Amino acid sequence: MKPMVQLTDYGITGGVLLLNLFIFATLLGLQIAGHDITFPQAVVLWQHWAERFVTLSAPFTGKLLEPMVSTFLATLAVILIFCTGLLLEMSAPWIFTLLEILTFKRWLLRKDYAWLGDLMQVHHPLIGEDYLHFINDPPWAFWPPQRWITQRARYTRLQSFLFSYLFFNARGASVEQLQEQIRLWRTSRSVSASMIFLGVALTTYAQDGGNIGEQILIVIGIPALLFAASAITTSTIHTRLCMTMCSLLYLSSRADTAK
Amino acid sequence: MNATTASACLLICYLLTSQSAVALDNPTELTPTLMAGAEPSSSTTHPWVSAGAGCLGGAALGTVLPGIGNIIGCIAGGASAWWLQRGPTR
Repeated sequence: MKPMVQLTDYGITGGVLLLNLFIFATLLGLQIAGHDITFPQAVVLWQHWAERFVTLSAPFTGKLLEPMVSTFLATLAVILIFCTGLLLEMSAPWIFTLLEILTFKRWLLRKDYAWLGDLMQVHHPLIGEDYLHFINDPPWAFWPPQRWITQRARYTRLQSFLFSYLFFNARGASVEQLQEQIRLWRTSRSVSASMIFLGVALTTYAQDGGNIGEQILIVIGIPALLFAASAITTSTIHTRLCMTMCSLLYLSSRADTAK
Repeated sequence: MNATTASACLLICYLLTSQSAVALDNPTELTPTLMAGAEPSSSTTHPWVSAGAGCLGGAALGTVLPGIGNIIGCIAGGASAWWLQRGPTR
């Protein structure tokens, strides 16, 4: 992936998470202040925060260091956004591996794909054993934990092999199509992870005050919706990636056989 | 890189949670940073709502280790939320 594209992706995903946290901090601030959750009240809160941030550079006002402090703070904000995106990218696989394994087995590694079995047989020394265990073990083999960790590792190895095989054999347009799907999948997975984190943050919100209906909506209803939306989004995008990979894999394996 | 992120988070937390520095003339006028002139809200506790929410959040984070992780996360999150809700300061 090109560095600029990667930075853009990290910027988008990190920005989404920080925006979510900003909204959450606004809700929390309004709750602590004992005000209603309305837009005018939120604007007052934001103005108060802005005044607080201005005081940070107040000691340097009119001095030689003032532009440097402003530049430093702006740089820090940009680095924060990119680092947040990177951390999301790193943490998202831990959350969504189960969903990805389900779609991977449903749409790509299927027992009834004889051509795929032939392909794996050719590359048996590398991934043959992983393939056999992966398609025969049920996806809900969670106990003992070592079994799940092994299954995760098998999924990662198989996916890495399939990506390598496709990039090695696919033609120009196919590579672009695959790269686009992978980029979309990774970005949507990171955005979904940010929705999960926002949902978890919301479950700690509104412990005091308000009527019970509002509390249930904010701390249970909305987080549950966020979790469901992130799961559906990740499944849908990963299914699309698996379908693309399946088509490209089939065509590449046919071309290999014909040689 | 992680240290940079942590430093920035600490800076933001400091700015949002520290006492106001603009009312130094009269220390009695210090106000919480989150909202000027704020008054604490009246406490109406619903422990089972908090426990349910904690259970949901813990179960979501427990997906890292499906099955047993969800169960442990749900129990730990629900119990800790319920316990915190019963505290004297909540």
